[in-house]
Amino acid sequence: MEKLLMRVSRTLCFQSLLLLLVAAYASCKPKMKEAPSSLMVFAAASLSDVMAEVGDEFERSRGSAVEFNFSGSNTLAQQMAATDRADVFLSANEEWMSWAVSKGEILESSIKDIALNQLAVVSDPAFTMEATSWSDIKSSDVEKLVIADPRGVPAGQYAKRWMERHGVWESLSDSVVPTTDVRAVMAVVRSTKMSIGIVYSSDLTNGVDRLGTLFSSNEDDDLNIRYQGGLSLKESLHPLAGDFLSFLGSEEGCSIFRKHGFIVEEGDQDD
Amino acid sequence: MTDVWSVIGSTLLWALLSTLVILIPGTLVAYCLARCQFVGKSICSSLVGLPLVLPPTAVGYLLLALLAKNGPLGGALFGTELDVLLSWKAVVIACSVMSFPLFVRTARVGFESVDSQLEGVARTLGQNRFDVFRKITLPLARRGILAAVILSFARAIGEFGATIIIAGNIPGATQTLSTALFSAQQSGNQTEATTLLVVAIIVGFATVYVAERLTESVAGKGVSND
Repeated sequence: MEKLLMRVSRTLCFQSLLLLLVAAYASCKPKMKEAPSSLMVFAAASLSDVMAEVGDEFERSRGSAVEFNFSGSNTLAQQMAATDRADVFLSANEEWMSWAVSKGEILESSIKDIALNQLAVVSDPAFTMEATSWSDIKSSDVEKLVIADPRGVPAGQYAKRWMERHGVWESLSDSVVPTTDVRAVMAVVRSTKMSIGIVYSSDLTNGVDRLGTLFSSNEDDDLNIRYQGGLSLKESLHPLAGDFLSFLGSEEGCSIFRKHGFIVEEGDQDD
Repeated sequence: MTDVWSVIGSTLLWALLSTLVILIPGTLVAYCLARCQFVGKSICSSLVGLPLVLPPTAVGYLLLALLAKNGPLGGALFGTELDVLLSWKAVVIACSVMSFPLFVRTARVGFESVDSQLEGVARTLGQNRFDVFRKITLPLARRGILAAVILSFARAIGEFGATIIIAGNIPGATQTLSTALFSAQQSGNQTEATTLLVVAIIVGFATVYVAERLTESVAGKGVSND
């Protein structure tokens, strides 16, 4: 019995020591990171890459660190309502930006378009289909048309709208395969014979996904796929928040966006 | 770009912390569910298991609502601002909540496998309930508890849904292996996504491997000589 008791108390001692050590480490480590109040930007997850570069560039020129929080625009908008952390919100669509405005989180007059996107029809390179517009695509040629789920995912909603504008949604709807997001569209198209898919044009710059591009949407399709930026209405807004938003529209900012496949309209940016 | 080592380090640290947080309450709840009879036990047991079946994002939104600045747990508590949302503390909370039911379920099986006659004998020999728990039940159930610890730790490493909602995905502050992978994948950075995926597989494999060995070695040492 005594041996057992000793063992139990030893385990308990060991455990509490471990707990103490870890807690001590954990409590000092994040503090070092939280100490300087840096600019906090809530950005749509699809901007992760471009923002990492923008952040570095901004820090170099303004000497102020930028912190990012990447997630879906819906999650970010709800986090804005729940906390006072965000200085700038970069949304992947207008819907969640308006939601944030309606909740009193975003200064409406500060909202500006930061980048545009278009859609593209892609196919597996092995699938030798010739098409330059929707009228070339017949339902008999295509076994699967892969898009993000139009019931909830913005990319799918835009895809559906695009097809409706060209009057092909009804005729092709039997071959439509909805997926979770644009990444899944690419994966399915790459691995399924006789399939085409609809993705964002910005996704095609990452050379890794070797997919054949058949054709893209253009301004006439009026899809209005836009990333918007806005300033938080919180009391303690970071002094450089406005500066950051205009940096995105500057020559430097625009060139980074372009490099990552986004479409930037020069004229709109310098206000 | 993403500092892979610091992401791995923080992910493991937070998983460990969340496992430690649930260790004692989880063990007590598991013991109660295994040994005590009380009114509403099955309701209690179902409530405990809820995070196991609810979508993690649903749990995340519930926690976000609770901890929000104007939510029931968001204000100053005991005179101090908690301010846990979008901090590493929120990662630990998310991981703890999500792995708690897994811990309880596994540890409970461990307690249930202990022969209750042994406990009864100890009681007749004059030991009080707490002593019986400490000296008989706990050592005999340690395999189950160890399995519970390992499963919760593994669950915490991979936690995504609730974490990204209450802790965010802030590189260098609250980013975990799962959320870093999500960022890389969403922005189309295939190279980084692949790197992180390989890392996740290695870390996952190592955890399960160490767990297996640990369980084996504990199983090897009997307690019969005590």
